[in-house]
Amino acid sequence: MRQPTASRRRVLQGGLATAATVGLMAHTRPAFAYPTRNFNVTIPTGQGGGAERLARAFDGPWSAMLGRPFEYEFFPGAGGQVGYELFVNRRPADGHHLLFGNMGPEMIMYALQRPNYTFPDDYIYFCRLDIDDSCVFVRADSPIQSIEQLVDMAKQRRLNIGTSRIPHPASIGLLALGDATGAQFNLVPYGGGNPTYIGTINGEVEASVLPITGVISQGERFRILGIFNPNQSVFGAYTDAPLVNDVFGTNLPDLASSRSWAIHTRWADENPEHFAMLEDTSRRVFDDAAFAQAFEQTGAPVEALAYGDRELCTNYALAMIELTERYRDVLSAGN
Amino acid sequence: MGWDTALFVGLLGHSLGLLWIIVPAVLLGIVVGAIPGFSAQNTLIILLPVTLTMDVDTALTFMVALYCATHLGSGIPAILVNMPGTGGAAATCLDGYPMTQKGKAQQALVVCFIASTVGGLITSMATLALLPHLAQMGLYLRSVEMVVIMLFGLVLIAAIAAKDLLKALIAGFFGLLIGVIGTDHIYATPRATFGFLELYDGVPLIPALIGLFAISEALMMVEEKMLVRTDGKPSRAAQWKETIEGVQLSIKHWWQIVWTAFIGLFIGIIPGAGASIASFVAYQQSRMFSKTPELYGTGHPQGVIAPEAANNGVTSGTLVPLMAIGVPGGSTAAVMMVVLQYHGVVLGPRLFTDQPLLAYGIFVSMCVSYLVMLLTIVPLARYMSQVVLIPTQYLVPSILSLTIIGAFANRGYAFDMALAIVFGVIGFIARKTNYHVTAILIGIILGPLFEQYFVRSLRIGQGDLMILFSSTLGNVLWAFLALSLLLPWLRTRQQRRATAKEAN
Amino acid sequence: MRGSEADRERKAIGADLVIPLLALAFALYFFSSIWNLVWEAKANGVVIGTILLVLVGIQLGRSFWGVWQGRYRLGFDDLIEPSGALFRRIALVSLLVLFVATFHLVGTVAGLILGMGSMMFVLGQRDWRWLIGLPSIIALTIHLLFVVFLGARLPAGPIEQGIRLLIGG
Repeated sequence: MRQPTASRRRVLQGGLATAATVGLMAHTRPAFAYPTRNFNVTIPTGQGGGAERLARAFDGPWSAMLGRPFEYEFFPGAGGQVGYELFVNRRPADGHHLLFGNMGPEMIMYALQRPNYTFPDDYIYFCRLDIDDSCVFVRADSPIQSIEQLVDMAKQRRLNIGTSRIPHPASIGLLALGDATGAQFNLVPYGGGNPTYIGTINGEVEASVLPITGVISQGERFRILGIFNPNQSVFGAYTDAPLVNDVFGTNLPDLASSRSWAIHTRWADENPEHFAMLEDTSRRVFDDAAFAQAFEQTGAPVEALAYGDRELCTNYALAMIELTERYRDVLSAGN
Repeated sequence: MGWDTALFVGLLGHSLGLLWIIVPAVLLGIVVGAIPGFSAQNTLIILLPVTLTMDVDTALTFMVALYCATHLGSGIPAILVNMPGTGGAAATCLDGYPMTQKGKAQQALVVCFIASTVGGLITSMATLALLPHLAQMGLYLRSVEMVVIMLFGLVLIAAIAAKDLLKALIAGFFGLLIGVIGTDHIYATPRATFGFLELYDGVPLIPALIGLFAISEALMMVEEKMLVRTDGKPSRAAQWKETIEGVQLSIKHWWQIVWTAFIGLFIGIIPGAGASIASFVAYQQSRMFSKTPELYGTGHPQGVIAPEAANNGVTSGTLVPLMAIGVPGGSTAAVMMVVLQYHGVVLGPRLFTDQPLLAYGIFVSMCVSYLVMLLTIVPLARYMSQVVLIPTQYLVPSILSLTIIGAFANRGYAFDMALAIVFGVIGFIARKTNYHVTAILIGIILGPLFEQYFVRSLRIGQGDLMILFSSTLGNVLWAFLALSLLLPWLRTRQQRRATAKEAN
Repeated sequence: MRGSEADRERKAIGADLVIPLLALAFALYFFSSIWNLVWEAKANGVVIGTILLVLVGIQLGRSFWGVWQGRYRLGFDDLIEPSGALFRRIALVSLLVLFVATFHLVGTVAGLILGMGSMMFVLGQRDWRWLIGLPSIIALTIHLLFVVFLGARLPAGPIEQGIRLLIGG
């Protein structure tokens, strides 16, 4: 559902006035001002989720720089496909329509389902906000104390492991771990982070895999057993959980999720000055203490925040497509 | 934490001080609840920029009051024009509208209002007193138990089909299959979407509800000049004595209000369940334990009490997982979480020790909201009931216009309006040929939920069907479900024997 | 072939078969769409669809047996009678479709006024004051409550722009 803000009417009126002025001055062909109206953001997941909280924390300082507020629409469904299809095919490429998505799981979904839009021809990610390592965790009072113990148990019997979706970097991490160690994991998808927490708390699954910042924000309710990161995790202050590769000597790839702003490629290419302004202002938000503070208020660790530009985002997204191809068989319903 | 009278009195005083926000929230909630397409969740999302500017107490009170009032408001059109405002009031149509057709609209409204407000009041007080225990209870109900709870709702398909079981089963299974449209729950692969992106997330409930109930009913009304047959006599103005009659009926069935409201509370606590399931289960259970089950569906006041008390019992239940474990159980609670987190409130068990005023205050605000509703809305039943005297010439275009906009407003897709029209035509044919539209709707609402829990259970059981009988609580529920199916059959057999004996 | 009077005595069950036939067509389409999926993605649909096919089979079998026996005939009386109401229903549904197709162009308020006025006309109202008055009140109420107050986004047309200028919003 669209969610306008209180200032919408004023903006519309402003928009009419702008249009009239532009009409009068058309013969002089001045450079168009940008932005001329509110930003409309498509979020391809449900409201109340991690994406919304992060986007709202970010939009305070950003909208102050841009001089226009953000309005949100939520289109969950089909692992993000609904939101993306809608954004690419039905939202005008006018620089005022943005998408805020989770590149990891959504690129995996893109690679699996092969929808009728193309990355990066139709849309590009241009501002990564965070790096959210995938992790394995159990509830605080679980008898499973370590990742080694979990793997040992899974070598004896197939363990039920909760996850938000099967096409997700965290799920791929666990399947890759199983491949490397001979452990057997049965992934149980809950359709979102919140239901996965419930399934873990009520003991329906022995452990779960999810991005780490949400798990940390749940406080002492969970114990993190291991982190999927090939190099060095920034979350050492919150958990003494080891890196999975360090424990098992494996070579599992980077399985972090990263949220990012996206925009229509066509608009970015046709309006390089405006796009540069959008890139520049979004990067400067990271220098604003208000952003980190708002993010921290959600209970998530600020260490997760990390800017990434268009090139970095594109490389990350293409790497996710490649990763998906390696695990296509276990991630897809098609025979 | 035990019951603390001083804390409660303090909180009550604080909530009464927020009456200035409760009253408008209640009024707005009743209006948006009564119009299909404008649910509490949509309205709260739309108003989020406003609530984010309020202090956290006021914002929460506003949201809770509005949320509770929508549950009450949704029953009004269900009774008056057979058009539930939300899925939670669909079961109210079963007896509410027949009461209206019998000329008892005012009594039905009063019964609905009292059951809703008293049910909501009792359950919010119970939540206040038993919160830590209730939070634990929600954790005992896992996917396996949820499969059985869904089946309780689905059993209603057979129960409402007294006249023609085969037709009701066809309608119910048709609805269930429609409910499977959309992406699957494990791999998110689209199924039977006709190539429409708008159906990837399943058949949207609001257009289905609007089509099956509102549009089809409006098409039925075309044959009549008025909803209520006056048989040539001039229509009589509503009297206060009908309101009093409604109050008496509610008092007479006070115990039913209590226990069906608790069904709502318990189902509300379960994350992912909601008012629709609660009201169908409560209706089914109420019918099963009734001494006169054959009266259900004919305009029986108890058939209005059960779903209405239950769907308001859900309101306090929904907030339990959010407040006690920091995980929202439903979409409305998710919107509330955004506001709470925006204000830096850390949800979970520590909330009750760190910020008891906020944690318990929300349920006291809920009690006050229900009291406000009780005092303001019951006297209005007399005037609301006059809607049925509006000639269909005006009523039908008004219903069609309002609901078609409701179908659009929910997601902003013109596709949903077209879908509502398609369901309207299907609903009309179903009504005309006695395929129960409620059975189709039960299938559409419960089908996807049933599949979600069923497939998840099988996945957890790693393909072993016996997982469905692996938990003690689940097995108790299975036994109870079997009893639900057997009891009406045994009762009918007993009645037949008694009749046969009398005949001999 | 019996005479028309005798025909009328037999119950017309054609209308009764519309829902089962729709269900049958949908179930077949459903099966075709899930054929290649793994069992978890189709298990529930296969069970429900199969039961539905069996139920529809019984209903169709029962009905056609009745027709064969001469107890029923394949008429659509339940749906098409009374004929006056049938005309009004078709007109109302057509107006709804027309509204959906055009409200993006003319705006919600104008669309509602035209659509609702036309529906009232179809239902027998001929007094132009009613035909314009009531739809205008309903459409403006919807606009004020949901667009102006709640900020919902319904497609705007000339009337909405006029209102916006009028209230200075």
